Amino acid sequence: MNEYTAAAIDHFTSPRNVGAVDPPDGKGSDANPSCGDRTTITIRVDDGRVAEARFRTFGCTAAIASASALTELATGRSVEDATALAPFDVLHALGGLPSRKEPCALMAVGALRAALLDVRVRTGEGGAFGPGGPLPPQPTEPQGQQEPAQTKSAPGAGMR
Amino acid sequence: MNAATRVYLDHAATTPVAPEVAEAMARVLRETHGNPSSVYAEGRAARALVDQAREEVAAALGASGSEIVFTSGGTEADNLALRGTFAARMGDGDGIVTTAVEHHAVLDTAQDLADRLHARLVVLPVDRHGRVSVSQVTAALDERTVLVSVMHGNNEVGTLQPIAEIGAACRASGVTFHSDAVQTVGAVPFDVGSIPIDLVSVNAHKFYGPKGVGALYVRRGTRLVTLQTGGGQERGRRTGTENVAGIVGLGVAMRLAAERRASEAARQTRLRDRLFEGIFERVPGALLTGHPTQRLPNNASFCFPGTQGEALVVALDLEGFAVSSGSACTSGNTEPSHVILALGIEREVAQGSLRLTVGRDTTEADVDALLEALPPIVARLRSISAEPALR
Repeated sequence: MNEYTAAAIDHFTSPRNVGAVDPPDGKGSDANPSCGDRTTITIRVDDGRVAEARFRTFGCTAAIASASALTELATGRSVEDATALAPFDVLHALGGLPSRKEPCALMAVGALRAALLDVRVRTGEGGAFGPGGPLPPQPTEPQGQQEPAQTKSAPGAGMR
Repeated sequence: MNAATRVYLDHAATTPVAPEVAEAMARVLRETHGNPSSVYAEGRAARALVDQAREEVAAALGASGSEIVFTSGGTEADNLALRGTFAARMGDGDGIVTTAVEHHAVLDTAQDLADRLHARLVVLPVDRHGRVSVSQVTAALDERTVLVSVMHGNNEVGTLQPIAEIGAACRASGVTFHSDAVQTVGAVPFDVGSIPIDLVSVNAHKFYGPKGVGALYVRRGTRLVTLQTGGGQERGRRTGTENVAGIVGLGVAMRLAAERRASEAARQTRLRDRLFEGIFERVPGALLTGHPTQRLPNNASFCFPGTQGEALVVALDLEGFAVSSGSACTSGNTEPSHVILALGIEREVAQGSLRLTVGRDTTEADVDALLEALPPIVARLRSISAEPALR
């Protein structure tokens, strides 16, 4: 009927976890500057696990389906496991997206990672840049000044 | 929803082939295999069909047969008009004037002439309804200008341009005037006897003819250089063996369109206005795009802030409606349409554009079904996006 899988259409027509956790333990956004689509994810964390994740998306079918699927994947996971969720996991949950729509999965992951980072910062457990306290001043060029592990996850880890 | 109950509201993209057209084309394919350039009976039979179609197209435009050049469609007609004129008038000047809301077949061709052949290109802005004024065009003309190209009816927002007045200004300045009338020929009256115009692009599949065939009207005496060289068909202006079946289809489609134009234009205008009223009544914040009255009879186009066009199109497709959005969603990008942006609409609002275009087969029940289906979809997408303006 169209270029999307049944799973993607299901997430699009009956999106899970629309809205915002209020007040959130963590909040993150990511956007695709080339098209103006954007997603915000808010989460509540209990005992180091994502107890609730909600999203808002202004965007296309793929952007909405990706955010919906990702909030499902994140719920119940430890903060560490949730941080490891990647665009591949979203695509897997959706049974794939048209190739030109794959950046939409990346945007959802970027928003979630930003929300999880926000949790760490708020709880003083250390942000992405090491234990203990708030983020140091942001380097203008992210490459080279971060720990290698963080540099690897930089694509999609939107802090915009 | 199954195929039988689908509602097609995208007649600006293309129209279904009229049964009479399909029948005439099938007959040509079955019975007339000759090459129109051959002198024996089979060739002469094919030539007669091409000539008859040429007369039908000419008659509908108020032109004479020798002024019609058959092409592969609207894009080729636009390319032939722009490139052919620019090459033919090279000694006269290098200036081309066009508008920001043209189809890419004109806009990108003009840009290509500027990039590669150093044409001096002026792209005129439009007002918030998508109209360009005669005074804007006049102000842009100077001794270097050789060609003005202004479309007749806009394919996305339906706005009609004052081409008769623009044509008169061009004629007074000795400038060749072209109009892409792909959306209007067959839909609204177009008479080259009353419009001072040199070149007009026509496309069969916009008025219930086949895809892959169109025409360029070339007023007698207009200088034009061919884009391709070969056997010299179409008086050397578009060489290559004629697409006989397609040309016959174009001729029949043009004749039918002319016969039905008056009654269909009135009927489709009523359906279009029913869409306007219904949508403004049922969808809060709906924004009309294009001119409220100076527009194509079949075009109802909008922006719905807080939604994104591709999502609207997919959601409506799932409910059985075929519609279009101005945002072309490619390579992960949903670039808002250049036309909607040219109206001065904010980028984010422009993303939520939707174009509904009715046609011969559209009924009041189809329109009412759309009016039922659309409001909850807009509401759902807005609840997902929760854009600040709409909270």
